[in-house]
Formats: sequence, structure tokens, C-alpha cells
Amino acid sequence: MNAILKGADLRHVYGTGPTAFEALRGVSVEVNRGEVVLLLGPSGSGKTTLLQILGGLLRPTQGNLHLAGQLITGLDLDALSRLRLKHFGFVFQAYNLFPTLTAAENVAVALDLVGIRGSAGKKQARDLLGEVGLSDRADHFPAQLSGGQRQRVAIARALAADPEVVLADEPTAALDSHSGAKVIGLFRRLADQGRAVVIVTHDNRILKSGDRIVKMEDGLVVPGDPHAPEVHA
Amino acid sequence: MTTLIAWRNLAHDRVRLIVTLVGIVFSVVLMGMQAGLLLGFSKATTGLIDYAKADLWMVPKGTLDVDLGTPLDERRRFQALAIPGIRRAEPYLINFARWKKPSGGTESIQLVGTPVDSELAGPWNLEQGRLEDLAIPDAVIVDHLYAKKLGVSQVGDTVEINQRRAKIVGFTRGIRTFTQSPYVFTSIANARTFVGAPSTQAGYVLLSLTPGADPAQVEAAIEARIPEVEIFAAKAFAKSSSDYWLYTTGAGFSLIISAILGLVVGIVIVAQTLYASTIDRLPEYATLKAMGAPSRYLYQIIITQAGIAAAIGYSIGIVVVKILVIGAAEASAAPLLPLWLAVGLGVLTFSMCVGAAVISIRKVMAIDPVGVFR
Ligand SMILES: Nc1ncnc2c1ncn2[C@@H]1O[C@H](COP(=O)(O)OP(=O)(O)OP(=O)(O)O)[C@@H](O)[C@H]1O
Ligand SMILES: [Mg+2]
Repeated sequence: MNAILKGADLRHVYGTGPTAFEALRGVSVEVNRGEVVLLLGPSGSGKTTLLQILGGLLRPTQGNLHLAGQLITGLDLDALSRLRLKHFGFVFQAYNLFPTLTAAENVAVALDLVGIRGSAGKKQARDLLGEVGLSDRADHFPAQLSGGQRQRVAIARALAADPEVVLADEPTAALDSHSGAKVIGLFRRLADQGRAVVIVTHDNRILKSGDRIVKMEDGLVVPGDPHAPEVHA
Repeated sequence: MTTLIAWRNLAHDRVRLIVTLVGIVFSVVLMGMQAGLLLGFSKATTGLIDYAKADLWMVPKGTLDVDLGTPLDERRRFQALAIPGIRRAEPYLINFARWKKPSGGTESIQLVGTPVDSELAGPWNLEQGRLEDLAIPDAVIVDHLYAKKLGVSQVGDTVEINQRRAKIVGFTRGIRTFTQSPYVFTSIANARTFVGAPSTQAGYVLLSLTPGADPAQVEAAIEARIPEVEIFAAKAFAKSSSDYWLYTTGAGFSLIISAILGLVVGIVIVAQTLYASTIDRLPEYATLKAMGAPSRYLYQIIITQAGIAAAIGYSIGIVVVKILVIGAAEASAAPLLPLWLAVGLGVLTFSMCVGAAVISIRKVMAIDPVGVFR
């Protein structure tokens, strides 16, 4: 079986009492190695909530999540944190780089977290930047990079621990089409290398790069032909 | 890597870094100078005792401070000599007097009279003149520190003490007084003449013990035999004297309060700037947490940041303190900076900065990594 992530009947309620809001109302999803899954749906439909649960950032109120066959719902926060470090890479819409560190140093921090330090860390940071096509920008600070370049640094950073799963929330929303295409191409390559990639997006340009689309509405997955390239902008 | 992040966090905002460092330097200088002055004053108040070789001081009952002696009949000295364990007993007279400068104008002084052949007391650090010359009637020795205040400049200068002629026969170096009335050393005979005291009057009796004698036993024996007096071990008298000046006059309290104020100001400034810089980095810290960084990693960044600031601030501050201490060496209030104080200030500065990091750490502790996907 190829599923690296398997969520069954995931539910999530924000808040308690009269202000409680059920953002996920029973979602079952599988993510396989080597595929790019696109998470689509209107604003407020629960995409980010689902992504956070899949990445071990948020514990579902109910339901089970397996990572490579191991049940991870019910783990404590520290265990989840270690799990994220080892198995997950995250990419954010706003890049979230340290503005005071260079591109190479930003990647080196992530390597430092998994114990790769010193000259080994420096070399690997440069190698990772090379993989995203930024060898010549290693010593630039984020402010000296374009949005697309920043996002590629963030992707290099997400790859530091060589994760099996890469999760991204609107990674191209702030990018022009040329930069966006480059970033999308990178995600495609990560999947081709055998990683599972989940991308939350509104970006139509991504659609053809996805292997599978999961559409959400009102905290539920909308059933339908998983390969239907149906889009509404 | 945490060190690099910490350093860049600090260096990124120059203004904030300068404010932080000014705060730490201010704190180190204030704490250092106040503590140094406290030590300097404490040394000045006990100089007469510290440099005397007496084991025990016999003082009139109720005496708390060496500078504030009251008359004691020299008969007590002979009574003491009869007690087993006493090797030597010397009279010691200390009295305020009026000093008239050659150029006119008067100063208050502390006249200190000891026997010319004293083994237990007398001026020390003699730089000019001979001790034996104190045998000359009218002869006095003063300290270079106060030469200007007393209007004298060389051996042979003559002045008036309580309207009697007095002649400078020597100078000492570095004997300070806390009371601002300089010590003027003379023979006990001259001292009695200057203050118009009978030839049997002393202020204290300095005692030295025979080898092997038990000071506590001797003390008890004397106090049993001579109820009018009290016996202090030299160390105890020194402590009583410095406590008297530092705490009953409030001088010590105000120094201590200022030092604490320095500490508080330092903590507040460091806490404030560190907190502001932590707030600036909150999104990045949340990102690190989301990536799976343990909380320890974030604390390390913040504490290192506090530590680097402490190291730089302390280094600058202690140099400033040292310069001020050297500059004030000739002043009438001379702060001291012994190594243990410098080290202690360092430890305090680091504790202060790390302590100030607590609120930042609490902020980071509360970060929910979920917040990064918004
Ligand atoms: N921390 C929270 N507390 C309360 N309600 C929340 C919280 N986070 C999200 N919600 C609610 O849960 C629902 C789903 O939010 P979610 O962020 O998953 O939507 P989304 O599909 O990612 O939307 P968007 O496309 O706008 O990013 C929304 O109605 C939102 O208001
Ligand atoms: Mg969202």
C-alpha cells in the first residue's frame, strides 16, 4: 500500500460552548507517496484546518490519522513536534524566513534542528539551494530576493530533514505566474522523487500539476471524479 | 546556529541594541560604583583598627565606633596588664580638634595619639619623615591626601591645633577618613597637650595577647574585673565601627539602595528591549515551532541573546568602573574594585539579563505553531 498519510473521519471543533464551530465534519483522505494532492474549496471550507491536522500541527477533535501505518492521533505535543521535524516539510504563503539570516543560513537552521551542523550543514544548505536553483543567491538576505526566490528558499528549508511529506498552504498566492510556475515545478519534482505533496490552493495554474484534487465544502470533502479538471475561479 | 540567530536578532536593530547596552552599562556602573564606595567607606572607617596590631581593644562601655571615643582612665591599662594572657597594653587617644591653616582658616581634624615607642599602633604608610620625630613636642604627621585641605605642603610647615603651635614632621600616603575630618597622628603626650587632657587620660587601651592565650577567656576576665569597659576583638570593633557609620548614618543604606536601583533599571531595560525583539521575531519563532523545533531551541536563542548583551554591556561597564575608580583614587571618597567585586558584578549582570529574559521566554512558550498557517 502506497498511502503515507491516511485520515479517517476527521472532525475538528474550534472553541467550546455557544461559540464552538465545527470546521471539519468527518473528512476521510489518503495521501500517497509520489503524488501531488491539491486541496481546493471556498474560503472557510476547512482546507487549512485539514492541512494542519495532516501535518501534526493540530490534533483533531475526533478521528484517526495514520502516518506510514502508525496511528499518530493521540500523541502528545512533544511527540508530534518530533514527528514534524522528521517526517514533514512545511511551506507557507508568506515564506516565513528569518529576515536577519541569509538564504543559506535559513536552510542551515532547519539542518541544525535535525543535527546537521558545522561544515556539513553549510555544504548541505548550499546543495539544497542548488536543488531549487538558487546556488547563486545563497548569501542573499530574504529582502534581497524576489518572492519566488524566497519561496524556493523556503522549499529548500522544508527539505532539510528529507521529509516524506511536504505540506503547503497557498504557496503561490503571492507570486507572479512565472515565479509561481517555477515553484509548482519544484513541487512536481518533489513528488516525482517519491514524496507526498499536499497543496492548499486557489491557484488555477497549479491544477494541471496535481495528480489528484480533493475538493472541500463546509468542512466536508465533496465527492466526485477525483480526476475531473473542473475549476471555478 | 542559535548563537548566530541571537546575534543577528541583536545586531539587526542598532538603536535597540544601543539602548540595551546603555541600560546594562548604566546598571553595571551604578552597581559597581555604589558597591565600590561602600567598600571604600567601610575600609576608611576601619583603617585605624585594621592597621593597628592590637588583638583586643578596651573601650569605654557603649562605644560603637573608633572615631567617637570618650575618655578612659589610663589606670585601666595597668589593671589590664595584671590579667594573665596580656602581653602588652598601650594607651590610645583619639579626639576631634580644630586645625588652623598657615594661611588662615580652620578645619576639623581627628587627632590620633599613640606612644612614640608603640608596637601596636601609630601612623602607617609613612612616605616622608620619621616616626621617632613624633617624640618632638608639637610634632604631627598628616596624610598627603589631605595636605591641601589642611593647608600644608612639606615637612617643617607649622600650623595651630586648638590654638597651640604644631609642626609637620612627616606625611603618610592613602590614609583616609570617613568623617571628612582628616586623621592627624601625633604622640600620646602631644595629643594630651593639644586637647588639654590630663596625663592619665586615654581613649582606648590596645591589648596584645601572649602567644597561646585564648582571646575569649582574656576578654571575659577583663570584663569581670573592670566593669566600666568593654572588650572588642579587633575584627569585631572594625565591624562595629563600619556598621555604625554605614547603617546608623544612612550612608550605607543610600549606597545599597542606589545599587539596587541600578539593578532594577538594568532588568527593566533589558527585559523591555529583549521582549520587543522577541515580539518582532514571533512569526519566525512560530515557524520554527511548526517545523518541529523543541521549545528548548527557542529559549536558547533568547537566553543567548541576553547573554551576548550581558557580555558586551558588562565589558564596557567594568572598564568604565575601573576608569572611575582609578580617577577617584586621590579623591576623599575612594571606591574600591577588588577582583571579587568585579567577578560578582559579572555574575550579577548575567543573572540580571537572563532573569530579564523570563518574560520573553514566557511569550515564546505560549506560541501556538498552528498560527503559522493563516
Ligand atoms: N482558531 C480558530 N478558531 C475558531 N474558528 C476557526 C479557527 N480557525 C479557523 N476557524 C474557522 O474554521 C473554518 C475553516 O477555517 P480554515 O482556515 O480551515 O478555512 P480555509 O478553507 O483554509 O479558508 P481560506 O481559504 O480562507 O484560507 C472557518 O469558518 C474559520 O472561521
Ligand atoms: Mg486557509
